[in-house]
Amino acid sequence: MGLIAHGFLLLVTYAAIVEPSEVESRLQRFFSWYLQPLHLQVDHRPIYFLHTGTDTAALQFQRRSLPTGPADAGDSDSGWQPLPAVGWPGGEARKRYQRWAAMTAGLARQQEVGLAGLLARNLVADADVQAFRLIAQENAMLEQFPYFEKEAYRAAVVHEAGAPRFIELNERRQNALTASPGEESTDE
Amino acid sequence: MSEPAAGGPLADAPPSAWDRFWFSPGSLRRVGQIRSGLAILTLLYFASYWSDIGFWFADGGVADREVFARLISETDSASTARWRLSPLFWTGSPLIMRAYLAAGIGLAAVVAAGRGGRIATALLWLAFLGLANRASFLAGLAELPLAFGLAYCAFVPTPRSRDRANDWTAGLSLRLLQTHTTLWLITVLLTQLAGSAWWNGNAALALVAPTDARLFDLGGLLSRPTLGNSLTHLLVLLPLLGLPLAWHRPTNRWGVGLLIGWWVLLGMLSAQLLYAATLLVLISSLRWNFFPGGYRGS
Repeated sequence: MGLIAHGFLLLVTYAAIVEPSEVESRLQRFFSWYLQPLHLQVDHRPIYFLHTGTDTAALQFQRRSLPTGPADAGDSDSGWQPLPAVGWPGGEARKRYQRWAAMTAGLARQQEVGLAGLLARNLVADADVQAFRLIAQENAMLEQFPYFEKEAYRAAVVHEAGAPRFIELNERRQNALTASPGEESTDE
Repeated sequence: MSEPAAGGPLADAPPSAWDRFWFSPGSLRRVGQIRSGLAILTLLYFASYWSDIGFWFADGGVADREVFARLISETDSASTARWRLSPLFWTGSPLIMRAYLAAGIGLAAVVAAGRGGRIATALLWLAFLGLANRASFLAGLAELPLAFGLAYCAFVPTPRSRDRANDWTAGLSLRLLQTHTTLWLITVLLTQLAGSAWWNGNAALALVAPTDARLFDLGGLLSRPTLGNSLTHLLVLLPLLGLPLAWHRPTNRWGVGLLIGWWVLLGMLSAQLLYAATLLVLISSLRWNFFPGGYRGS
């Protein structure tokens, strides 16, 4: 009986990899006391390879320390420097860094800019960081996706009481057109 | 020709097909080899965190406890994340975290050497789960097969602790490894075939495309359609042939060979070396001759 139950739960969790149905999600939540501590739940990890071509993009966190003017905290395309990556190419440490970057980019593209800022928060704790962005590096595959947005996230960084606060620039531009001064939408 | 059932559920009554499949005695030595292989990979996994565990998990780190807590509370994973149990959530000290890694590396070395028996293997499994669960959102692909592989080896005694070569616990362990690995491979095959790159021939090129994660620059070579397309089609063909052949006794050797070829190629192209190496160890459990006698389940 235990073997059957174990096999059934494995079937449910693997069948839910690409896009879980409502029933699969409920079952996974109900049996999370079994699947999570034993690390059996896949949790959106791509155990398959290349579900979409844009998965091939390696991402890079970049920062800019010096604003080009008082009204420009990150709008310019110059002066960006990559944050030092962790580990060596192909190594597990570098893959972890890439996964974190991919999760940040994914949240930003889903308009979850507050959460994206949360993931990036401790990467830009230095007080001199004025702006931050996350871009996809060019590769041979991305040429086939001309409309793929290579810049996943860009934000101005304001340091308050030792903690960075992000102002997502697309939102900032929009608010500048629609809201009165001082009502900027903020993340983090 | 065959040894007695060596105790277990088959000791008293004529076994059903179900019991024969799951509880026939299997080779303790073979399970020991698989366990050693997984322990070496677990050692490498612990070692891979040595340089960056503080960067991620120490207080003020990129994925410290505060970030983790806010992340799960503000996403829909709040109800399940509380079951990601790990002693590493109790500390923000990089020193203690490195001590944890050192203990894990030591345990893995003991198990890889075939020492320590079931207790050391179980402790290694628990230590591994602790790190993998703490990593949580950072965890990658290798953690999943390592977690179930270590679990299935943890209840089998080491060969030197028994006066016989085969045991029903080894048979059960091998069956769990075989069925779970097969389910895993089928899932990988089916889900990746949903991606267009596997149909239009670009998958091999796409595997080597990420500039920040590759070991070799094969992009120029594989951008030639003849080579890139052929390799893509081969990567689809290998599991389609290998899986049924591996589960058919007379062709088992060929099937396992094709599956090994599949994962060697995938590992080299994608640079997912730890993940591919784990799968290669698990695929080796599919060899039929691990059951020296009594099994007729195919």
